[in-house]
Amino acid sequence: MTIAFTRLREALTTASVGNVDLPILIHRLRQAHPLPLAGAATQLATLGGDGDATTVAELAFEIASLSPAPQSIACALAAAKLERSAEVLAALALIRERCAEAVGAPIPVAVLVDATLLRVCRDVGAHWDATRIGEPERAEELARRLVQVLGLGIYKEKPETNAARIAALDPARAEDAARAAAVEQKIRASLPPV
Amino acid sequence: MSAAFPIEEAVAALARAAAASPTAPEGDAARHLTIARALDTLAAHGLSITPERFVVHAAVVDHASSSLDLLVAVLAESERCATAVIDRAKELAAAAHGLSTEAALAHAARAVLIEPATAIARYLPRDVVTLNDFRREELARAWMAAIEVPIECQGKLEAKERSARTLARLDYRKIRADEERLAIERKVLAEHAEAVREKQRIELEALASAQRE
Repeated sequence: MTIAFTRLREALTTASVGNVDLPILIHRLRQAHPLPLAGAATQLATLGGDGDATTVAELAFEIASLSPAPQSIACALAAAKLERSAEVLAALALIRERCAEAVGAPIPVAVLVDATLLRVCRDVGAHWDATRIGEPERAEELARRLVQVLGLGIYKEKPETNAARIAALDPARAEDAARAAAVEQKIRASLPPV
Repeated sequence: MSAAFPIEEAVAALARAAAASPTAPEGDAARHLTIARALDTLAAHGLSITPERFVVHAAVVDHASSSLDLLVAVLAESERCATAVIDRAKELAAAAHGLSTEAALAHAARAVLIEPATAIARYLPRDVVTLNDFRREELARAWMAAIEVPIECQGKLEAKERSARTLARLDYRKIRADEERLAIERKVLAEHAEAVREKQRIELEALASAQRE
């Protein structure tokens, strides 16, 4: 079996089917009340274009297999009314189509959703959980990472801005900077005044 | 319970793999080879995965920073290491009630290979793993901790607590934090020394000026 890896990787991040309205996406995420696991699996399966019971069961299993923080974010993401965004749905459909072309076989919806939407949850879930989704910065980080993974654009924003904003919003970076500042302050305090 | 993972054998296999491929796999062909080798090795041990369920997740892995190719090499080269990991995958697949066999096997294969490689790469990048045996041992132990497989060290089954302590001692994050702290310390001390020198220069100039007057 020959797999076009570059095409597959590109397919997973370059949908280019339109621009999402970022403030609306952030608002939806902030308003989302996490769904229970079964409801989240049904919603995510529907977003991927397949409400079949087997797909729902598979997604429920994948969500349940996540560690607590990404799992809670997945349940919040599922509740964020993403089905109201034509761009998100179109991007998922296009990614599935392109991945199938690159692999040479149809891609199960559970695999598609896992490799895109749940991947975002795994990434951000390494640093925070759904209890923080109401914070503007965390909701913006999640929204921007979602846009990045789905290969979408953002209205009134240059394409290269998104990656820079994601890096700036990354709480790991802020934690590193705060730790370095604390160490520096402690060392300075231990030195005699000049 | 899974067979124990022979740590010395794994570290030696990782060293050979790192020597044979000092840089990360680049390009389509190299990444395809890694995944094909993974699928072949899993299949040889009775875990046949439908490729499309595995490759989409494998494509998402950052092959440059993850040690996925090195982990796959360990499975391909060491029968005992492969047995321990694939036994664990079979346990995970058997516990996946309600899933089709195809989905359960793919889930298990990802859980023992792709997910640990991705998670470990966040703090222990591939280029660091190639540096020395301490980092290779950390990679092997972190991998086993992630998939909950016991470790065999010097022919003896290691207690879980001991494995956890050894892994904590090896933690590259602590080493990196120490290096960063030392760099900050050097910078602050250099700035302080410069400030002291500058003050002394000003005082000497003021003294010389006062003496001239």
